[in-house]
Amino acid sequence: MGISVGTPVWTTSTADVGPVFTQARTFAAGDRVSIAVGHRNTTAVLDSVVFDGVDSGAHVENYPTGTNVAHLHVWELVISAGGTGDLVVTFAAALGSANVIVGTSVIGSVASGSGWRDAPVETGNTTNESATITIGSESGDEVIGWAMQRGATATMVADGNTTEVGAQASTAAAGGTHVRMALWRRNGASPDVAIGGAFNSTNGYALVGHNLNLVPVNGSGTLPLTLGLAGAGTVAVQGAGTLALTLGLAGAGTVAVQGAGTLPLILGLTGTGAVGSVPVTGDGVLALTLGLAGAGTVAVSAAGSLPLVLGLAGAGTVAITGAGSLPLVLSLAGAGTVSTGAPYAGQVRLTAARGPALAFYAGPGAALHFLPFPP
Amino acid sequence: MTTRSWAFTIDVAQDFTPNIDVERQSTTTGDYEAYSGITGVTMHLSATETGSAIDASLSQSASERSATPGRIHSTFDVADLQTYLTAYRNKTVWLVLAKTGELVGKSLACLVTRNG
Repeated sequence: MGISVGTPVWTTSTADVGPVFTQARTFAAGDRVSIAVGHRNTTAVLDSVVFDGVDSGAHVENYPTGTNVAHLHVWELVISAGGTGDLVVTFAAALGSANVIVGTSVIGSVASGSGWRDAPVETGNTTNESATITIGSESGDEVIGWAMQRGATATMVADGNTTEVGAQASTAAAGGTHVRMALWRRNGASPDVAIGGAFNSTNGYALVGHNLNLVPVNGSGTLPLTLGLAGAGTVAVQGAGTLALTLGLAGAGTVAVQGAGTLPLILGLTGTGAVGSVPVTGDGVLALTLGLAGAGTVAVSAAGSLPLVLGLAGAGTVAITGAGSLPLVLSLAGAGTVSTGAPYAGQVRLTAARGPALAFYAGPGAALHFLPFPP
Repeated sequence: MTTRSWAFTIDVAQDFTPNIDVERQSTTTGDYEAYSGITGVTMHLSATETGSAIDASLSQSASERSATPGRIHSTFDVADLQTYLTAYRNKTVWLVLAKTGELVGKSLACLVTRNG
């Protein structure tokens, strides 16, 4: 499942100068929340973001554009127990200007811990222009950007590569003292993507964004391997059977494979005891082990495939001319299944209690001829 | 080289009582050991190596010899043999053993004769 960026919930003010702003919110345990606060006091210091008196947010970045123009603060917060409560934004002092927007968005299906996002990137200016920020990313990741500008009714439009998740003005009134904010997003790609849009404010704009990292698969993964003939117990395999071998990464949606993985395919006859002189006369066992080897940040994030490559290895003067083929034959040898319980497993051997009754052999040379039995 | 051997001959003029030693392999020693206490085995006579019984009367439940662990036996009646195996004289039929989950399609070749 891909990363989700929740529609922002906005709290606006055109009268309150703070230093405390409150937004009533309901969060679930484990939610990761991206928080943006925009206003026009470029010297203001945001002291804390706390949800329900319990969960304290962390500062990501703030970007004051020039002096006393546009100021954007981005914080993050991880919800512990969840529930309904107040998200309280506290500045060190009153802002001295009334137009404030608080935006909050719940981010889902991202990596845990501090690795859920990468370092922020920001830009800003005091002119009407298009601007982007370029953010390092990978396929399957997601890039978000909080944008704000002075001028609540002036346009602020995401570019063609950028999707607007939500937007809000501090007031419907026109005027450069007011504030407009938006949350933008774009699907990640390696090595980076640009996110941005057209700003329309000579009173200043700011854009702060960062990459969101997909949930990684670290260590060993599991690849279900289905080899049928389905059945158990008395199901007998007589004659040729067919074993469909399907290899793939289970998953759907936006799951992609980032980085190189290794899938060792080991096929062999397992055995114990005096292997070597002991002939294999019945069913053999082929242990097939498939797994994602590796550790660290290898992530699985889009439909992937595991190519099974069979080839003729060779070097030097060995040439392959014309079409060759490598038959892959998977079958159950012989007939019968055996499960006799510990410590017994493997073949059951049958012998006539008194040994062979008759045996005839025809070697090279003269053939043996048998006449019908007399009546 | 062509070879053929039969585990049993079946004289259609007599009852046929095959005795078969069943061994299973120990994962501890790797040796085959008598399958002591074996139950639930059926035997039938088939025209093919792993086929079904030529006739339902040629299908029997086998039981273990009390004095010989792992040795099972069953008796096919002479009347049934005469009725259904006469057409197989001088030919090979198969004594197929089955035990749910353990023995499936294991068989021994038998030569049909008439000595009487």
